Amino acid sequence: MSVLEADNVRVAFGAAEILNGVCFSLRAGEMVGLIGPNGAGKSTLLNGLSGILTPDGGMVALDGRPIDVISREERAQSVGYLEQNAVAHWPLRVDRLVALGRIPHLSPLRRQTAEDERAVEAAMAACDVVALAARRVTTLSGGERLRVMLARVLAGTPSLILADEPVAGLDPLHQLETMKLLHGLTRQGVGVAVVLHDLTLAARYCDRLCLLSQGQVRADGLPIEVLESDAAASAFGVTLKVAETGGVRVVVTAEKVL
Amino acid sequence: MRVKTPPIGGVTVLFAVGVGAAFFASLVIGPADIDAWRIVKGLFGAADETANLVAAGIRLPRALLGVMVGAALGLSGAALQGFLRNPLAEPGLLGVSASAALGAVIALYFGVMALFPLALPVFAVLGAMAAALVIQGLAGRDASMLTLILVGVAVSSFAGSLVALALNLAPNPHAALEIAFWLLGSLTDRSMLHVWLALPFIVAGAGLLLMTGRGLDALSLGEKSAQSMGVDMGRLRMLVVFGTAACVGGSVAVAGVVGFVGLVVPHLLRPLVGHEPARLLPLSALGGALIVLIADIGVRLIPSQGELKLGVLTGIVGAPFFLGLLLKTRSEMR
Amino acid sequence: MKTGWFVSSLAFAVVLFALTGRPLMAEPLSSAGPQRVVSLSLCADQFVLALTPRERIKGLSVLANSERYSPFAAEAQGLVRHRATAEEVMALDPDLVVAGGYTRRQTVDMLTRLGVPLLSLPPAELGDVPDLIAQVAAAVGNPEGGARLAAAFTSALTRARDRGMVGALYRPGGDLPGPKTVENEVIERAGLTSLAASLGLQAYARVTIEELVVHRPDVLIVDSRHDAGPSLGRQILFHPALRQMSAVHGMADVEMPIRYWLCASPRSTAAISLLTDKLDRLDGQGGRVQ
Repeated sequence: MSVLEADNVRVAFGAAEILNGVCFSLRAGEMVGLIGPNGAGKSTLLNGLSGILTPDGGMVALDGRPIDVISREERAQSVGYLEQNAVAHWPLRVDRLVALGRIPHLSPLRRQTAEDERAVEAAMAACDVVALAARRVTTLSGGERLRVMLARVLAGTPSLILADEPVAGLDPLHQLETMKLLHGLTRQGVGVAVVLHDLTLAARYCDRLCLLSQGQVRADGLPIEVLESDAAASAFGVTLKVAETGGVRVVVTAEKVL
Repeated sequence: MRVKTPPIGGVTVLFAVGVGAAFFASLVIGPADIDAWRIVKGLFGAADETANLVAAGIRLPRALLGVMVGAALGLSGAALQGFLRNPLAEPGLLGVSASAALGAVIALYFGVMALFPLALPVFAVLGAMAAALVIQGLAGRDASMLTLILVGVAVSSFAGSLVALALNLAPNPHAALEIAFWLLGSLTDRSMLHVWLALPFIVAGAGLLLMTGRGLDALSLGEKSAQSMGVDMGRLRMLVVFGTAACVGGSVAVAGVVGFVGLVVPHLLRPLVGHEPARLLPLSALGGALIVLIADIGVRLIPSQGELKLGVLTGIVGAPFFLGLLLKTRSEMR
Repeated sequence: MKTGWFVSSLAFAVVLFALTGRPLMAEPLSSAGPQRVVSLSLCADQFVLALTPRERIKGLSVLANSERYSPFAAEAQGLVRHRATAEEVMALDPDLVVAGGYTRRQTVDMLTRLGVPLLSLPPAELGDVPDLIAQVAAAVGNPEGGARLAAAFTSALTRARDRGMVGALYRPGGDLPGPKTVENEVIERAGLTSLAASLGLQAYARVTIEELVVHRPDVLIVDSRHDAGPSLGRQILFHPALRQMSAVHGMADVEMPIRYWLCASPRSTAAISLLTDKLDRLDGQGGRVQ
């Protein structure tokens, strides 16, 4: 059972405090949505959780052990990170790009084994990019590229995935497919934390929502409770209503908060 | 469908064979008319006095240096391009080579080398390191193409001017005339001493650079993703900086600045390895060795009044290539 | 207002100039010979020092008193030296300037334009020296001294017996002085066959170590091994192959000073006798001769 926790994390860039006393947790098998207005610190929190950034205060722990004690490779084997607007700098073949996801598991001299190859194949199948295997990643559409990048993360067989705005800029079809894919992963036991701006998607697919505003956690709980809370209203500056239509949950912006 | 890791490809073997052939050609071509068989025997001391001396004392060091310098330059070009994620990066354009030349010039003309010979490559490595650190500081983090070129021009011009100044201030009055060697490179009249001076640094540098493969592969996805995969960016940076400094310092100390090899070779060979930075490293070493050996043979075959410098040939091919590359990536330079 | 100031200053300067009597055009040489002789370069220094009374030499090149480069170094001690720019030369107020090898074209042109009497000595070989002596002697008003010097030079222009050995002078950077150079003629007059000549090389040709090994001369002559300061070119003179040729293959290694043959000078014949002596000591000895 994997769990990634941020305990009273503080991150400051110079005089500006981006995160101040943030507590957050992600468990295997659950889908957590990180929501909040722009500049709330959501990406920064993900960076801190994934080990890219070292917090100035507080602690991040994986399975109870502080991240700075665990080796980078060990941490990378458990925690996968999908960057916002992930791109490849060189026009790599899709299958070779996905194979890069095995890097945390490869020791300096060890080459890829059959086990690695299987993980890569499984990841590509899960993200439905097998047909794109021989294509160059720079020739793909936005939606296809995202699925390939996600496959790369999956190839590392992480137990926890942190995704920073994976559906930004995608058309509705691909947004839906991506969220379904991520949700499906949680059903297989992977824990997924995803930063989202689209509150409807957040309400539909997440088991839990964490609302961040101005560097602090303002609410953490079931989607409906968080979205219709006063904290959400004051954070976004608008009151939100969660409704259901045709069996699908939607979130509407009701009124500006005075 | 199996996603196999490609083995040491046929391309690598092909290039290795090519380097072997060029090495042999470099051994048997020279101003003196000695047939190949005599040269081969001469390498083992089994021919007549003259052939022995020419083969082992003159042709052999020259061919060895061709391989060493070419491999060092090709490898460091590939590593720099992979690390900076920029196809315009290479030690010459970034001023690393000129700075290495400055170190070497200070060691040689001001008597330091007379005290201990290794001062020559050591000072060159220090010069290269200084430039690499400046580049890293000014243009390291996701620098645009324009920033990188500008920083490179600045460092390169500055170092080049200092080389000229140092040569003019040197005790020996003929020093100023030797600037052509330092800024254009040459392998003529080098001896096994030069091979031994450069070898430890080039080998060490190559070792460090070959260790960057996996990190550079991960870096294809960007710094953040690479870090999330467990890549230690600080360690990777040190490997690239020290490895480049050692390779370039060792080469420039004994052969002067041979330009454009580190730019052209990785760029041409990249499509052959699917644009993967790790696989490009060893192939660029071979490609660089091949290019320099061929250029050095060309220098001996093209009739000219004075001595034709290596950098003239690599420049004639490399500079238009660089221009073409600039035009092609013009849109990315904003 | 400003223009007025400018014009007045200009007029003042012109008047001042005219009053001090410094002519812009030179006066013709007096029959006693020029009183203020300036030599423009090392090669011209030699002739000026050989033929001009000391008190009339007002300027020599910067290398004139260098033991390494000038055979007249002793005679040049205590005399004024300059860096051969037109400005410095004009400041010495010469009534004769002698220019020789290694002068800047622009400097000579400017001095000519300024109307300074200038004697330009052409590039010379040993055989031209008596004629150059005569020219300079005439210009400085010392024809009898010139005739004596020329005669002494000619009689010192000896030729040793043919030693049946091939010799080559190897300069830093791998230059081999060939036919039509002073160095080559000295080598031949010392009794050696010149390698450069037998290879059909012209003037100063670049020869690689490899070519030197293949055409191995019997005598390798070196004049700059202990030059001022290290350089790449000088390093070539220490190439292991050259050492091997001396140590193992019996090539003789002879060191000569550079000053006698750097220019075609009245004392260049000293090189012939010096080299002849060293080669005489070689015969039957082999190896290095200091």
